Amino acid sequence: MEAVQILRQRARGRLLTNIVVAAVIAILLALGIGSLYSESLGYYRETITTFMVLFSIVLGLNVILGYTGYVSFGHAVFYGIGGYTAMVLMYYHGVNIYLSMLAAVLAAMGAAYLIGLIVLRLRGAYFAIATIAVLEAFRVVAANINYLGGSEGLQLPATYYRGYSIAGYHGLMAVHYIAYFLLVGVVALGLLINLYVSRSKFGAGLRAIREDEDAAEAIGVDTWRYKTLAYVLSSITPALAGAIIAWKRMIVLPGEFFNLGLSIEAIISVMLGGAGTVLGTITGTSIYHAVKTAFLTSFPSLHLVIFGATIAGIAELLPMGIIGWLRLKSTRLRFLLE
Amino acid sequence: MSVEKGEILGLIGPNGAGKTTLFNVITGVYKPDRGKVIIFGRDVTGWPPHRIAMLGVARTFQIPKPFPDLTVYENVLVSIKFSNRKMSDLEAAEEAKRILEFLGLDRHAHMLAAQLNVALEKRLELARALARKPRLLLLDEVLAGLNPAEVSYMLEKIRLAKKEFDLTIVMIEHVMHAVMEIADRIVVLHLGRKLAEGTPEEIATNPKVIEAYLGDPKLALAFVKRFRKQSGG
Amino acid sequence: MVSGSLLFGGFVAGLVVGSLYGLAALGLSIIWGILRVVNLSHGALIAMSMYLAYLLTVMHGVPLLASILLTLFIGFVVGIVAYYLFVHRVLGGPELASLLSTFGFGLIILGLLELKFGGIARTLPVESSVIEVGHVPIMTVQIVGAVIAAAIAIGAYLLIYRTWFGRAVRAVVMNQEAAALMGVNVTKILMLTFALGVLFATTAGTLLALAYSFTPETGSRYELYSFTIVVLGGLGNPIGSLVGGVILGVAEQLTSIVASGSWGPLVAFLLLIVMLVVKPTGLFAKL
Repeated sequence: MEAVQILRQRARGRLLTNIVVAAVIAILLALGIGSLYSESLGYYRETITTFMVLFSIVLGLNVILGYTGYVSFGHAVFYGIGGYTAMVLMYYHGVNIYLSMLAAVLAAMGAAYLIGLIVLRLRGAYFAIATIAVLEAFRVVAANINYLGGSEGLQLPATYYRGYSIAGYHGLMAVHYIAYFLLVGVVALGLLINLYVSRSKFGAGLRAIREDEDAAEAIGVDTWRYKTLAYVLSSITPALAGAIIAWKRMIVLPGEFFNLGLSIEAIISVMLGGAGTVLGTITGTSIYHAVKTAFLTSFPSLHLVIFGATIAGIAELLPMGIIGWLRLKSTRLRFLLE
Repeated sequence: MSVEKGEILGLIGPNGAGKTTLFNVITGVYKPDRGKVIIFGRDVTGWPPHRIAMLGVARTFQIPKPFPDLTVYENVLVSIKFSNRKMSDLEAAEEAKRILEFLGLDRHAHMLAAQLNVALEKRLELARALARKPRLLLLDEVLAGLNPAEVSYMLEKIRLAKKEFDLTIVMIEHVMHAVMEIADRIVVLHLGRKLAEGTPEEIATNPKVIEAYLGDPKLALAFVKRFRKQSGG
Repeated sequence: MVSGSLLFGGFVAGLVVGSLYGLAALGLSIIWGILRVVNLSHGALIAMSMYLAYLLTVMHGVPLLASILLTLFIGFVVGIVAYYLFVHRVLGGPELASLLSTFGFGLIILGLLELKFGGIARTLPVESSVIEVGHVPIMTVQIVGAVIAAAIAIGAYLLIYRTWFGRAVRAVVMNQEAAALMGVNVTKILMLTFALGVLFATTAGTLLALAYSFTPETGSRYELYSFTIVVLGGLGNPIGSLVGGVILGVAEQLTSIVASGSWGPLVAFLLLIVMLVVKPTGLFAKL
């Protein structure tokens, strides 16, 4: 293939991804707007909200895990930091959700930088375990400090929500709709970040680090700076999601917000779709969410068992994920599927 | 020790002499306990590897370290992207193809690097290093495990690359006849110290070297004879 | 200020409890050091053994000693089966695969436990006298457990470094291909090693069940402790595991005397992170 042809194929692939991403955002928006005017869509609004929360974490995780190859098992820590930061501001100072979200993301990014100073020196399984340790440490601290609500957490009173309104809904009723649209924004941001990483020199450097960190250094990649930046970027969307959910559910609890299970669900989604691809995040999260919702309703008691079997199955049989598997099939697909 | 601009310096010595370690010190992977590393007139002691690479130093690894889940083309392209040159996407792609063609890897351009055999892996190592348009090229046993035909091929490519890119090259090698043939000067390391330095001829007849490394004086003489024959007397 | 005798009592309690923690970590250490697999089902396996003992003793009236032995046997068999189902395929591949594979296995165990036993805390019917050291209560059952744990750790060390089996195992760790060429059945060795690791976890679980009540979540607490201990003591090092366990045990007990609240996990995690940064290979790296 000539150079020009290569670039043309790549452009075609990027166009496809752009279309898919735009379509996803459009569908999410349409559903949201629709639910504002039609009661019957209320159920879908809720389940898609849950989907978007997972998606936000996945989009963050994909940057550090998918592109950089660092298995952040404890990634939910940023969701928790986001949630708690927002809640503290809302609970003690009555700050509105928008400013709280800003604070949440700044706190998470700062935390990512500081945590990264320690954990990014480690590789492979050591890094994975260190991130679990960090997650657990945050959980224990949150559960034991009264200012953060201890094991009972912090809860917002209904009066807090008086100022909010959207399309004729007020107060607590409005919150569910506003939260939905805010999450669409977060998902859009996450997708943009992933697209940026996928197409930039920065992303190429991250992939090099993932493939062989020493060789990456040898060709001139500033691995330490790139890893740190990737980790900080990966904390953004989980933190925003955490803040939004803390606001929507009116409560933060250490076990729920610093939850290893959430991290694992995100990892599965990333792996199922195909780590290090944009289309993979969409595919993996959608399939995982759909199957999980279906299973929870059909086999509530067996769900842990099935869950576990699925994780093990994917890990052993399809570790490169669906999009990853497709990309291996032919050169054309490799260029086409970003 | 020092390397002159534009020369090919051979670095030889028994296993464990510290040759790769020396490379690691030069490229910043290890920090020396004592002494300094000066490249292109700058003191780079203690610099991280990527900064030294940015000065225009490229290296290959003794055991090839390709980017396994990237294609051959992508391997080279990444290297070009980080070679600190302002290039459009098209120029970078064309440059990648040029390098692949130069090393006969064009046919395998879209294969995953993990699927390459040893000979092709070594070529990819070289391709990735050359893609950086370096001034100083450090080759670590780039001929190991190759059959004689492959060795000749690589030597030819190294000669061509040197001329085209105006390279200075340091080669660690065990394939004696190759390094004797191509090197301008040779440094012999033994147990972490410099044992001898000189032209291939001088090295081949140096009794200390023979004792430590070549082991058999007759073998050494055979090299010298062959060398003399090649250079015409 | 806290009295000296209280601190001393805490220290002794830490020694006792720590030995049990060390045994709990032993299985993880062996599997991690030898198969290079981080067994994320470790906690679930400990919980499983506790419930197995409970199932046999309380629900089927089997005498305690027989239950324990039966539990150990079942644990070993589970280890063999699990190796083929969850470990064999992911060996030598990307680390994420083995992490998730073992994690999935752990979830399956936890799911089954939850299904069969629910979330209420259970205990084994064990009568134990309590002695006080420096006003800190220590159960005799714990002391017996600690002694057994130390004995097992020493036994594991001898197994790995003094027997032909151990030599075969170490050969496989150093160079799988060469070991295979020398006639070692690599798969069998890896399988037996994994099963052995599971057996150690099972043993620890039963001993711990004699002293403490348990729920399915109990396992995860020991799992995180085990990670800390393995990193403290060095991969694949049984004595290191014991010593690491004691260090953690003492730190935990002393902390609980000085500060109120359940800070144990935090102590473990701080120790873990400090070790990972300062010396990830452990205080006594051997394998």
